Amino acid sequence: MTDSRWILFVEDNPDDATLTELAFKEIGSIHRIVHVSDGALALDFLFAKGEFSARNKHDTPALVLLDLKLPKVDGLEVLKRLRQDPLLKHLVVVILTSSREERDRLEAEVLGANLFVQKPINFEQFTDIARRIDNMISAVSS
Amino acid sequence: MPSGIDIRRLAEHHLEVLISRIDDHLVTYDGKWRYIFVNKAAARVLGKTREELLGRCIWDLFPAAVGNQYYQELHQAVREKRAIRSEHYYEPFGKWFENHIYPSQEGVTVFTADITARKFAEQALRESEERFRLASDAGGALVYDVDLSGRRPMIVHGLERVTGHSPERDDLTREWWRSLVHPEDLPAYLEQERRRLESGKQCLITYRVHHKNGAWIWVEDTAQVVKDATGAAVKIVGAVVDVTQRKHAEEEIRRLNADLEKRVEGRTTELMASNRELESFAYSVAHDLRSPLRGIDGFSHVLLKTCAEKLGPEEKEYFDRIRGASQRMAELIDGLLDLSRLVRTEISWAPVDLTELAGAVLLDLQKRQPDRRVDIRVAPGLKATGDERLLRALLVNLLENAWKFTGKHSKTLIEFGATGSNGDRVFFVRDDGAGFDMAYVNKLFKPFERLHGNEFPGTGIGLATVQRIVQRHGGKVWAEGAAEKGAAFYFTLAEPSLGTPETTRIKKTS
Repeated sequence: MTDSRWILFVEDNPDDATLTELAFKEIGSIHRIVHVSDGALALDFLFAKGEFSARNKHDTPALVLLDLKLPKVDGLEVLKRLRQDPLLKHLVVVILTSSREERDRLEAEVLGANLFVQKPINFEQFTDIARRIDNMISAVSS
Repeated sequence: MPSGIDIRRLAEHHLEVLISRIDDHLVTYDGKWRYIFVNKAAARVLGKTREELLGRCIWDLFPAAVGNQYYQELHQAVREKRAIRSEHYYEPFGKWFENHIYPSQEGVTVFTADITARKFAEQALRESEERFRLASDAGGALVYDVDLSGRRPMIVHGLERVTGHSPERDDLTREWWRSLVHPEDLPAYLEQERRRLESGKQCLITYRVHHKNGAWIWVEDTAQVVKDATGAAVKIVGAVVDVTQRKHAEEEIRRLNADLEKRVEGRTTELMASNRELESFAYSVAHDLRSPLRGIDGFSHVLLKTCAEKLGPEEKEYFDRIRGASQRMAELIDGLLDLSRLVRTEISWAPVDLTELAGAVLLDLQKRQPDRRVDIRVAPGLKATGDERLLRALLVNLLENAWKFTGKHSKTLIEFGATGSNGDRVFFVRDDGAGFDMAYVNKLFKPFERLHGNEFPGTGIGLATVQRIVQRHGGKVWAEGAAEKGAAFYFTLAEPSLGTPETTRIKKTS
C-alpha cells in the first residue's frame, strides 16, 4: 500500500541512493520515492521544465530529501531556488549529506532547510534516519 | 689756587701716600747700585728694614744675585738707556714677578709686580685650549665655544674637517653657521637653539648642513649653555659630529625591516592559505573515503537480511566482520583527520588550568560509565601555558586510555599530577590497569601501532596525537609500564619564553 504523499530524493551517488531506498523499505515506509541524480534535474522536475514539462507543478512532494554535493547544480542552490518560488517555498526539505562542514550546516539553515542530517556510516543509523523522515511526512497533513 | 699751600710739598705728600699703598715693589738704585729708595713692600720681600737697605749696594747685600737675569737686565737697561720689562719665576718664593726697569739720570727705578695669579690663569687657559683641541681631534668632531655677548669671536676647532669650510675669522659667526643649515631643518634648529638658551640644559639637535663639496651632511649638535653667577647665559660650548653614515644606516635598517615585515606577512598569508587548502583537501578526501564505507556496511547489512535463511552462523559472522572492518576504517579516517588538523592548527598561547581540564574529562568519563569505580586523583593547581584546545585533546587521549585500559579491573586508580617545579616540571597520567610490556615502548607512539590488538578497542592514533601535541608545545613525552601493573605517561611543556618550535602570538586572557 502506498500513500499519495511522496518524496523527491536528490542524490548523485548510486550506492547511497540504493541504500537510502533500502532503508526506507526496511522500516516499512509507505511513501513513494522519486529519485533524480543531479541538481539541474531536480530543478527541472520541481519547476516542471525541460524533460519534465509534462508534469503538474502543483503536484508537489511531501518532502524533499536533498544531498548537497550534486553535479550541475549543487544542493544549496536547489534549496535557494525553490525557496524563492511562491508555490515551492513551503516544501519540507531535509538535507542528507556527507559533509561535516559547519558552514554548510549554517548556510542550509539560513536558506531555510528544515533538517540537516549527516549521512551515517552504518546501516542501522540509516534506518533510524529513514524512520525519522517517514514520521515527519506522516505528521504533515496531506 | 689757595695761598699758603706749597705745591711741591703737596705733590711729595701725594706721592708718599700712593707709594705706601701699593703692594708692588718700588726700588731705585743710584749709579753705584746703592738703594736710594725702597718702598715698604719691597723691603718686606727682601726681608730687611728700609734703614738696613738704604745706601747699601744690592750686590753687596745679595752676592748670589750677581750675574743672574735681573743683574743682566739692569745693566742692559742702563747700557741701552731704555726701559726693560721681563717676567721671572722666583723659586724661593714660588712666585712669578714682572719687572719694569726704568733707567734715568738719577739712577735706575724698578717696579716689580707679583703676577703669579695671572700666570697660573694663563697656564690653565692654555691647558684648557689644548684639551679642547684634543677633544676635537680625538672625536673627529667640531668643537665650538660661542661667547654670547659677542665680545670675542667664536672659537672653533675641526670646522674644516667636518664641513670642509674654512671661513675668515671675522666671518665665523652664528649667523654664518645658520646659513649652512638645511632649509627644511632650519625651523626646528632655531626652535631648539632658543630652547637651549632658555632651559640651559644640555641638549642634542640633529640637522643637515651644507658641506663645502656641495653635499648635505647630517650632524648631531650637542651643546651646553654656560651661565654666570647671576644665572645669565654667557656662552655656549658644544660639539658637532657628522652622523651622515649613521643616518643612512638607520634608514637602511628601517627599510629592510619594513621589507622583511612585508615578506613575513606575505609568507604567513601564503602559509595560512596553504594550510586552509590542505585542510579542505583533507576534509574532502575524508568524505570521499567514507562514502564507499557506507556502501560496504549498508549492502552487507541488506545482504545479511535478505539471505538470512540461506546463511549459516559462520557466514553470518563473516558479514559481521565485514561491517566491523568498515567501521574501524571509518574510525581510522576520523582519527587521521584529527591528527592532521592538529599538525596545522595555529597555537594560541594562553594560561591553561590543567587541573580543571583533567577534572572535567574524568567527570565526563564517569558519567558515561557510572558503574565504573575509579579512584580519581587530580593534583590541584596545575597550570601551564599553551593552546587550550590542543591540551584538552592531549588530556582526553591520555585519560581515556587510562580509563579504557583499567576497564577490566573492578576497582582502579587513575592519577594526574606533576613532579619538579618551574623549568623542570613533568606532568604524568598514571593508572594501575593493563599496562604494557616495556619491550615495545618504542612502538607506543607510532600511529596505528596497537600493543593490545583486539583486547581493547581503539584506532592506535591516540598516542601519536598526544606526541604531536606535546611536540608542538616544545615538550617531550615518554611512557613507563609493566604488563598488568599499569602504565604512566609523562610529558613536559616548554615555557614560551624558552622558545618553542614555531612562531606564535601570545594571547592575553580577558
